[in-house]
Amino acid sequence: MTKIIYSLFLSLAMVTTLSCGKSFNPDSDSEKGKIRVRLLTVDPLIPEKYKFEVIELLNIFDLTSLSGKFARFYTKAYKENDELKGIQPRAHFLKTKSGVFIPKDELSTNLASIYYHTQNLALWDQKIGAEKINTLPRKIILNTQINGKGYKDNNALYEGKTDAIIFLKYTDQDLPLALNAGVFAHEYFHSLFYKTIQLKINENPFFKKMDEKILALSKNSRSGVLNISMKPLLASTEFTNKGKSILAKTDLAQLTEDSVYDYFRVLLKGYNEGIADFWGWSYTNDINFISHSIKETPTNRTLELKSQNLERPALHSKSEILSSVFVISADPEVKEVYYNTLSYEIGTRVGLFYKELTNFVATNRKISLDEAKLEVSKSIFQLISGWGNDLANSQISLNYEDLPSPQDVLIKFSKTFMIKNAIECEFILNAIKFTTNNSTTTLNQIANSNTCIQNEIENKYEIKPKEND
Amino acid sequence: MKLNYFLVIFFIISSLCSAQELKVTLFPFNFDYRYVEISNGEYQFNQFKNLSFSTNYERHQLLLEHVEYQNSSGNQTINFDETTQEYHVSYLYEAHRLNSYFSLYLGLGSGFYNAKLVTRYLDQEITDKTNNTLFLSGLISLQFHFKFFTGQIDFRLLEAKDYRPQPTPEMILRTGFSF
Repeated sequence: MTKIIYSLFLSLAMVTTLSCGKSFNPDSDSEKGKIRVRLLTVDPLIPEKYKFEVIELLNIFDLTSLSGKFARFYTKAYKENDELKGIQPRAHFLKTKSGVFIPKDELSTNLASIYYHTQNLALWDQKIGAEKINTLPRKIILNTQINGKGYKDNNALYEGKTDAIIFLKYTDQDLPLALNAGVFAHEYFHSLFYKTIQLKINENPFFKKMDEKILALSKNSRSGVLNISMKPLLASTEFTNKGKSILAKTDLAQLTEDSVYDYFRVLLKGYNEGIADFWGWSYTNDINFISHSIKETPTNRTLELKSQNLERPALHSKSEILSSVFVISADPEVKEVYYNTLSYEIGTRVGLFYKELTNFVATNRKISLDEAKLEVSKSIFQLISGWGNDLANSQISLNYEDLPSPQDVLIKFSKTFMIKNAIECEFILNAIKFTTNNSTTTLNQIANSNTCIQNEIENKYEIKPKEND
Repeated sequence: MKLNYFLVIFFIISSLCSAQELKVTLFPFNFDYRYVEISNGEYQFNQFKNLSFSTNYERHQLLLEHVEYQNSSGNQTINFDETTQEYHVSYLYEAHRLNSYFSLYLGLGSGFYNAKLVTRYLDQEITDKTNNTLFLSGLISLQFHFKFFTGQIDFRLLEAKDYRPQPTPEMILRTGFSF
């Protein structure tokens, strides 16, 4: 009897084995194409908050490695013959009855989130006319040691040479950087800036020559969301007085090549970081998106007038920037760190301007904020594309008067932007006419020869030099 | 509840057999190590909680197991807790008796597993559960019996849909008491 029972049990086991007929592949291995995943996303109603939401990942080739049309991931990455190599990570998901994939661990969540943001920003590129700039899939590096000071942990950066976005190990207890949507958008923008400006200026003999002499703009192709920096410089009275003093004694008609190069360096890095912060705000509606992951930043990056002690958006003046360059360059030991600080301070004003302009346009034109973001972002892309071409082909002068000021760049921007009415034109013009100067945030009017002119043929307004009476 | 099913099966089978012919072994001290893929794609040995007992009749052995594994990741802001539970039924046959103390068993097993995942972000918490999923296994067991003491080393290959690598190799060291 017992033998019969045991035999029956063995037969049952065999039958179960054979009749199982199921594939032993995990659900995620067989999933391709459009896949529903539950992730942490920015709450559109409360931008400072994240919530769980089921989203769609598009054009997935392999869910396990999260590789698809939009992103490809590398861990333990390295370069071999200038080619990026590494191990593809393995994501783990739980599949619910309704067919939604739930990431089972931190790495899987990071991978799925980054893929989702990459896909959204690539689709945004198409809308703003930048679809030909970045190649797909975008390369993303995780869990890899990076050589260089300040690249140990708790940072994200874009590296131009490998065209990869890199997330360093996150060791804090807040929202991991890989899940921070604004941080990803910030890094994503750096790839656009690198390809439209940084690569182009290397064609200019002046910048090419300076590349070999000083830590180069293009060679230093890494842009991090948090770069090593010090406490704000331009708010220091002692600092700016020193700068003013040096400026007063300098022959402005014949600056040194080093000074001119350093000026361009901080100006361009400032725009790179500032517009990247605008990109982060635009993607999340969060004026302080970095703070979810990094509570304290060395410089105040909040895109809010009140936080920046401003009544209305204003950029730094050319003299402020150049005098700061003079002071910093006098101390070679801290030069790099202070240049970074200066760049971020310049950049925050730039990012804040574009954010305020976007809000203003939405209100003024009675359109949605998303529509306004699209208009401003399109024009920003045209600005950086045109500026890159100009820098590549222009003769760099050592005369102070020929240095481009942030206000000059704003005039360039105004030419790419469809200014619909006089009020919008005045908004932009005020940012050109008024600047902060010499350590205060009080606005001063600078010498300005521009005015708003209506172009009735093209039904728009333009900022142009005043005609002589 | 599922463990109760196993207990019921065990006692039904036991009651159909002569008490003199049947030996029951409880294994309270088990060391279960499985070679698994971890989140970054690498492999490592993880220890699993294993509670098991077997019943022997002549050269036949029926082994019942409950195996549990917990995996946590994340930080204070966002974290994940996954608990996987497995219920094994395995039939082993004494293929070779080395001497009066040592025997070699070969076997086949089956069972099911389910997983529960708790995902937390700040004050938000979501729990997800899977359905029961079938798995299969093959075993080689080197067993030592001396009076009421039993020790065995089992090598198992586990084939399950969500497990990697496939098959998943496992080694279990069991020590128990027979009566």
